[in-house]
Amino acid sequence: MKPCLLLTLTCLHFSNVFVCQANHSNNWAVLVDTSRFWFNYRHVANVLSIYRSVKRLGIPDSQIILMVADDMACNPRNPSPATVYNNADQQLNVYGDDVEVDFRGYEVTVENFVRLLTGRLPPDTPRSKQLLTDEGSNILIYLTGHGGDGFLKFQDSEEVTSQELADALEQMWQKRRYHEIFFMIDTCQASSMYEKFYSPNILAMASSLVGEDSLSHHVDPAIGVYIIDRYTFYALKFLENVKLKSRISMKNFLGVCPKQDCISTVGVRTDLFHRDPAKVPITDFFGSVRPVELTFNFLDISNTPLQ
Amino acid sequence: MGLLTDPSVGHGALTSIFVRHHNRFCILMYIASVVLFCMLAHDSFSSQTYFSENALLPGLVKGQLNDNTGSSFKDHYRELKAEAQYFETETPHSYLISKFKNLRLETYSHNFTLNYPLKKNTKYTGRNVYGILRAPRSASIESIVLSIPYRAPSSVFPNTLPGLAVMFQIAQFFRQQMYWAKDIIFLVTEHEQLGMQAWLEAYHGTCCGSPGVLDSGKLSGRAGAIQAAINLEIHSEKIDHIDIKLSGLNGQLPNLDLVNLAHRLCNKESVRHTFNNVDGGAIGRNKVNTYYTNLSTMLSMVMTQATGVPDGNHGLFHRFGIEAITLEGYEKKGRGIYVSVLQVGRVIEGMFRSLNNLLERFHQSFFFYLLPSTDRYVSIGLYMPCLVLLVGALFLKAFSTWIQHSSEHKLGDSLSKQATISEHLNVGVVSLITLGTHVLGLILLPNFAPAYFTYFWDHISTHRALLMGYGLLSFIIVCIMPILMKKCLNSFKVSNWVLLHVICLLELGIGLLCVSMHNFSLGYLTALVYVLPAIFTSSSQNKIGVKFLWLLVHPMCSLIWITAIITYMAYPELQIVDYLTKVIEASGQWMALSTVDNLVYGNWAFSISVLLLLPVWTSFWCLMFLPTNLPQKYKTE
Repeated sequence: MKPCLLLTLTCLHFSNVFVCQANHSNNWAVLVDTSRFWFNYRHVANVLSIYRSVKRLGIPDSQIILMVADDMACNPRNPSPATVYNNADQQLNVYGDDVEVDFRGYEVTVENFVRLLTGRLPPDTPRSKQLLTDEGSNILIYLTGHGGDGFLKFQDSEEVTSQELADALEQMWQKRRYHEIFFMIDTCQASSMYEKFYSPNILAMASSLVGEDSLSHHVDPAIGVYIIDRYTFYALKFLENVKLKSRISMKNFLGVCPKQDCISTVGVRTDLFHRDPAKVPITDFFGSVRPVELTFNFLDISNTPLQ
Repeated sequence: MGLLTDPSVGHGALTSIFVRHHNRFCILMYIASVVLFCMLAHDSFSSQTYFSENALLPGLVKGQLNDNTGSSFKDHYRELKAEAQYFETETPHSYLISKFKNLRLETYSHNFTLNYPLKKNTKYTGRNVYGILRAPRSASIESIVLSIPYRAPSSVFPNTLPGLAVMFQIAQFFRQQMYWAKDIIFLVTEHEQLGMQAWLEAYHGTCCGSPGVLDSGKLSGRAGAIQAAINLEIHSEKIDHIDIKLSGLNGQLPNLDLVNLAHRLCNKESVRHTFNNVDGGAIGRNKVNTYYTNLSTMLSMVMTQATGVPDGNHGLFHRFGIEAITLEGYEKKGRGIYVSVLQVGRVIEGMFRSLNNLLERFHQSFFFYLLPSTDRYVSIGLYMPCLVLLVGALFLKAFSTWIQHSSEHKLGDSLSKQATISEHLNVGVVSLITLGTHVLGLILLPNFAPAYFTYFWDHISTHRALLMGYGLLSFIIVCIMPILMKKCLNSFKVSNWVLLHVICLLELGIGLLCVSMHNFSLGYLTALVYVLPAIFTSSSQNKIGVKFLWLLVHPMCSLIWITAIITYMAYPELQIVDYLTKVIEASGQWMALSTVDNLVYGNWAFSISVLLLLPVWTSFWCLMFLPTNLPQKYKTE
């Protein structure tokens, strides 16, 4: 604790923002569901569940870009309107009050996604639709939908190829838009999407290898749909045990969903990532750096009205 | 013609083998086709059915239909039975309307009139009742239909009241649910297929048969575009099994996904389900038995499809691009485990929830298939070659005949250079024959001839008048043609009538291909009958046996043969005189029914026989009797 405190004090002279132990200065998350239609309910449940987890671990809504291609909560086929569940026991409505969807419905396109990543947006784009990252940003990118060998389908009408995605990430690197990226993808043949990556500092994980399907976990017989995918289900189960101060490393997370649970083989790519995943805390990507502002003045809190 | 008139054609080694032995090849192809067709029922040719449409999500949802909320099935059924007995021969329209209104459906009724086409000033009227359940959270742009043909107690068909009571039960349950994305139409039709046809025509604002025959009236209420329909015929409270019926008008079939859906849900709700009243699966059967069962199931499907008459009200939906099937619940006789109506209700609930999930019309799975079992199918790519082999035999015959003729012709040419093609081929006479036979076919179309026959023989019943009319006409043609050909065309003597022969073969082949593109079963069965005499026929000097064979397959004779076989199978105990009367009566009724089907529903079976088979047959018949020279002419010279 001591050296850390010392560092704190030295940092203070330059800026009021303080980072403890971490090499990055802020955290962002880009969570994308690319598929629409009622029978793809599970993809929306996937992305909303991950959204809930990263938010719980401290990434604020202003730093989460949530793209959801279809509105399951208001689908007329939904027996319980305005809800999206991620489990047949229906304990948790992941489409609760505080969900901020940034791109919805037909806004979820390949063009919007690539423009968002690379920051090539029209000047009048609202802040909520911009990825305002810098060279100190750690970004979690989570994609779910229907994919094939070397592509991910968007909206049943277009697709992003693994090469396009790799080039977009390279642009981000050259434009100093990230510090490190953790890339997670839950689709069929998911690992094909990260194979073309060539930019540094990317740790990638996929729900299945090339030639494999990613499977759903279970059915909700009340709603009548497959409610969540296997990989995301086990990833969430893991994340549920992560607390803000947990010392769980990324290496543990990379071992999530072994073959007997997932049926597909989870793929991992570490060669672009320069740190040892065993020494990277999971909160480097799922949690958030808390900017702390120190002040030496007294604050009078006695007059603050109690709620 | 460039290829055929090219002198170098027909002299390659392979071609000359084909030409020399073409009759053997044709017979070989015929046998191969039959063998291949029988093989189709084997497991190595058919494949396991599967779902192509992702949106269906078949059977994921738990059936919730129960007897606990609102009136139970028994209440509905008791009430309905009491009402039905009150009206011996009619439909209790006012009861149905008030019932639908009580179930809080948007209720309408629909009147229609049939101007019976074979008798002047004969009219039948009917009235359908339907209720629409509007999708609570969605626009009325799509809908699903649940239909039931109402049968009064006096009807000759088994009653459908238990099905109607299930419909009430389902409507009551569906009304309380909020997850409908499509409107649901509950339809009770009158007069079997007629009511259904009238309702569909009125719904789509069109007329499918002859204009002025079926006056389909107007609908005062409408839901969205119909995506799918289920027709329900439940004959008893205790059900032995549900039979799933597919065959539609003109042999059109529903998308295989819908058929699979019905089987899957029956499986899920443990309802015994069959196709053509045969259970699926191979449990408890050895391989040989499985094969025979599959073959007989497939054959019965082919027979049903070939008639082109729908085997339930569902068959009329298909032409509108609406996928539809009939679920027929047969009564469980005696004791033992039975299927309850509630189980069937859950099957329908599950099907409707799957259909509700649809985002587009059914289009992913097969529209052309044969089913050897409930869970296996033969795709079009496998069964088409059977027909192609038969038609191929006809084409090979035509080709060889032409090549043989042209090589002989060249031999003759070297001797008499002035001879032109037209002299050898007699183009004028041949086109006259071809034209004449087709005009005859046109005159005999159901829109023209039957009305005259019934007018002419006013005092006897319609079907006899039709049989007499068509029979007499056919008889005259059969008798007069040989005399006409022999006497009048004596001056046109040639060595052989190759042009007429080739035209007949090609027309038959192309016609059969076209028919089988729409209705494989009809095309294939017709081909089985007509290809054999066609390949035994030669361009000149046909033997008496061939003539006799042609006489046997005259469309009228074929009709009588088929009726005779069916009658024998249905009533093997009849005396010979009774039997023959029955066969003649039944043939007449077939013709009358086929005519009316053509005029009301637009069934093609009759048109095909008078526009394709009869002209081709007559042309072949002419070919038999056209005057010819002795073929030795060239040799002696």
